[in-house]
Amino acid sequence: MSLELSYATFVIDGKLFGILIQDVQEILRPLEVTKVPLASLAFNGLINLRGNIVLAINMRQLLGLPTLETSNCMNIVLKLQDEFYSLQVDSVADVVVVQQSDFEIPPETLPSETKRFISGTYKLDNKLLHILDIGQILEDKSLSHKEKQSEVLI
Amino acid sequence: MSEMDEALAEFLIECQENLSRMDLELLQLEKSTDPELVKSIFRVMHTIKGSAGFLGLSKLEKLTHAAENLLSKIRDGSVKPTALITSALLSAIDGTRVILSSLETNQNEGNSDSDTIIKALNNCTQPNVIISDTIANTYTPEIKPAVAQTLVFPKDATSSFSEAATPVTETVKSATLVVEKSPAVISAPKEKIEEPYREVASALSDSSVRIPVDILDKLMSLASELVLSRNQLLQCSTRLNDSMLQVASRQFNLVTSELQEALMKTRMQPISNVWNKFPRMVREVAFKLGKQINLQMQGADTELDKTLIEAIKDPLTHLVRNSIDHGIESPEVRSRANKKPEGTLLLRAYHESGRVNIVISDDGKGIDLNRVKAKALEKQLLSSDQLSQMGDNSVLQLIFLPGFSTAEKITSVSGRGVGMDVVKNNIEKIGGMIDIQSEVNKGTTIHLRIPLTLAIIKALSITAAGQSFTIPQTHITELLRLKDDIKIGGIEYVHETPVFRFRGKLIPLVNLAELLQIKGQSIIQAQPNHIVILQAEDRQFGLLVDAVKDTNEIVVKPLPSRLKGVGCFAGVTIMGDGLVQLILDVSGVARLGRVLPKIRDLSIKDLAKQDEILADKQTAGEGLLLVSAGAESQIAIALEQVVRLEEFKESQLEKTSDMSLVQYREGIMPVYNLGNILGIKGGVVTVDKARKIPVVVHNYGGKYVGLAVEKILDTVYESIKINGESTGLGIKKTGVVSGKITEFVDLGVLLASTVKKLEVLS
Repeated sequence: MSLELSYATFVIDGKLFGILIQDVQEILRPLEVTKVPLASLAFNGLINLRGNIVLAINMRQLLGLPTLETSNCMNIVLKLQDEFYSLQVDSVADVVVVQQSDFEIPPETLPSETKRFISGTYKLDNKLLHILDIGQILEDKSLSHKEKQSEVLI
Repeated sequence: MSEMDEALAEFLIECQENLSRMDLELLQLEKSTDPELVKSIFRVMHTIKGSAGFLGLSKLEKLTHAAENLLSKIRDGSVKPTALITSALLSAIDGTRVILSSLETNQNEGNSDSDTIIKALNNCTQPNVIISDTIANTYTPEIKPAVAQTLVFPKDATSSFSEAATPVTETVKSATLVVEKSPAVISAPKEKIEEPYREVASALSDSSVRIPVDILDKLMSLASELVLSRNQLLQCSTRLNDSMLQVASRQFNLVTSELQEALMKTRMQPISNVWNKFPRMVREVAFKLGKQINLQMQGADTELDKTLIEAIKDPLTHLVRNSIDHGIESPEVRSRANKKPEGTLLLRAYHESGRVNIVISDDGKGIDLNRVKAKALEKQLLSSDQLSQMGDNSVLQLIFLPGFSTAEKITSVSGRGVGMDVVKNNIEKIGGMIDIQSEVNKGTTIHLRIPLTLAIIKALSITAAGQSFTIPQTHITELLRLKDDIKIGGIEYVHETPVFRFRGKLIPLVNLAELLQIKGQSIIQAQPNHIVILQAEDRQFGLLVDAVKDTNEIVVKPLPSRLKGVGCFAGVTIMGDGLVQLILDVSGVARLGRVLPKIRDLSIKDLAKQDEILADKQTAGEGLLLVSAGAESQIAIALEQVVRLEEFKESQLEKTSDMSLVQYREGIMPVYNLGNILGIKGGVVTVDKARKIPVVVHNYGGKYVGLAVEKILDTVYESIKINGESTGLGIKKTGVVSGKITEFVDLGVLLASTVKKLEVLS
């Protein structure tokens, strides 16, 4: 008997990603974002969520996927270490229940900028579900500001 | 109510709570010997003793001290808790109550006799001593008169108290230590005693309620949400033009403001809440160390947020102790140094630039940098190489390293090597800054800057390139609007740096949009024509912005931790339209705009990285010469690779096929065009006869080699994060210096590849 896990899934650049449903605080429609100059490109900016400040993370940028001009991103809001973060994704999909036995570690050949954020993949019936490693995302160096300046300028 | 009275009232409320809990715990102790229980009782007793000491209640202190002694014996197991001991402790609690109620009614400790209780307690600490007599004495006659004197009880309560106490005496006198039986017997009178005291205590406890701070926080954020809704409602009501709605919303507006204000007040406390304990502490510590210290306090009524008060309590105490212990010398030493035997310790608090500033300064011996260095070497925190490269200020910062203490010996007061690093951590945790200045024999000054997080401040909204920002009003001196048609009084330039004539003085201008690298969304770029004159620390500068909007009262929210590194935002706020707006950190902006020097903050983490940094000396933290080799390029050369900077007239240079030669220091030096070597487009140094060409002289394998550049830009000393890949031969890396892409040139490598003919020359 294999363990069942529920994942909130969403689409980024046509690919299906998921995080554990218990890690998700809430999912919100596109919200107006205040840009933060000089901050990392991976940050889209700040959102007001009922008086809480939410830092919006541009998932496309983070995962090294082509970025979009449109600001109509869905927000997957997480609360980590008493701070709110929003993963900005293209669209939100279903909650998927998977068997842990279907879990596979990511292939070696995955580009490193994507690989470091993906803890593994579930084989669904008709597609693959990539599991995002939230801890890894927030610890990533590209989220510290200085790196970004050079990204912009160089 | 004076401050002391307030402290006393707080203490009384706290004690009442603690004592009732201790009653219960003591009784439990008879049934079980849970070590945690003993610890808990001990802690409570210790707290009361501590507070009593600090409030100068000597009698209470003595009594609780005796009880604490006994408890510590129980804690370490040398005394077994028996019924007698419990009674003794309970009598101590009762004695404490008597003193407390006397304090509440008469503001003095009363003349109840606590000595017998103390004697009883002390007796208990000696095992195998028959203590029945003392306990008996304690219980009946001594407390009764005390109660009669100090309290007005219903007569029956008092009498029931003394009556009830009698059986205990008897039980004890019979000296049969029947443990199973005694709890019931002893607790019986106790409960009756407790009743009347509770009534007295309630008067004060009722007037204040203890509320967890997180509830206050929650209320605060709800109130700020309410403010937002109010703002939206006000906008609606003006649009709808409905008189009923307008009246209602105006009322709503008023109430909301008042609510917010009242909520703010719940959190603001004067800094004297922390400072009040210093006079006594200073006196005691000074006495212990045989020093004479005159403590002065200024700005004790400076208010700051409660959480901040809590957070700075320990660091401040530590700093004050440090000043007394390490800073101020003994009277003899002071006299020898021609100073007054009495040292001065000054505490100062004030609001400035939207922050609370706390300054602790002493006129002591100051910090001896050589000793700091020696200590760092001894503790192997840094190598002598690293030390020799550090400036005085950086050396001073070393005292914030963990495990660092320069005190020659560890005293009971300080010098355990924990402290300054904890102080720094605590201050930085609340977003504050700590700065230390010291002059040998003159004294040491420690400056804390504590932010006003969670405070409501007045702020001005401005826009730059289409984005709105908020500037705390405390920083703003003046607002100016530039008129397009007036040439004089407009922006002038010193080289490329914009300046502005402001009251006859030139002040530097910083273009906010450029500084923050934001581009306007609109195609028609609004020319920034407003200047906000700002005060950053001791400098004045003008911020060029597109438009000045309105002033608001804003709720400062902390910047998400991941954005703190940006450095020019102090926090965020939520505006009336529900959008997040960034609050500019004026000092940070000044630093980024190079109005203020960049402080090389040698944090602990940096020091850990020191080796790594030093290994890559050329690119991090060490001096860089910035030059331009045409086409507005910026090239960085490590200062250590530069021997001299020279200027040669064009006529001095004798051209050969791909280089020039110049007579230099009794030899011939080849001069290369740096732009050419690097292949910078249009990088040919523009040469006209009159112009002198700047040449960077490098020592290449014992020979001088010159590199002609277009312009010497600057020398900088800053840590530069380098991320870019090498873009060509001889270029180590690329990075950003002073907001420009910069190529880091390694002259050795560059010349090795291009200057093959050098050998021929020699």
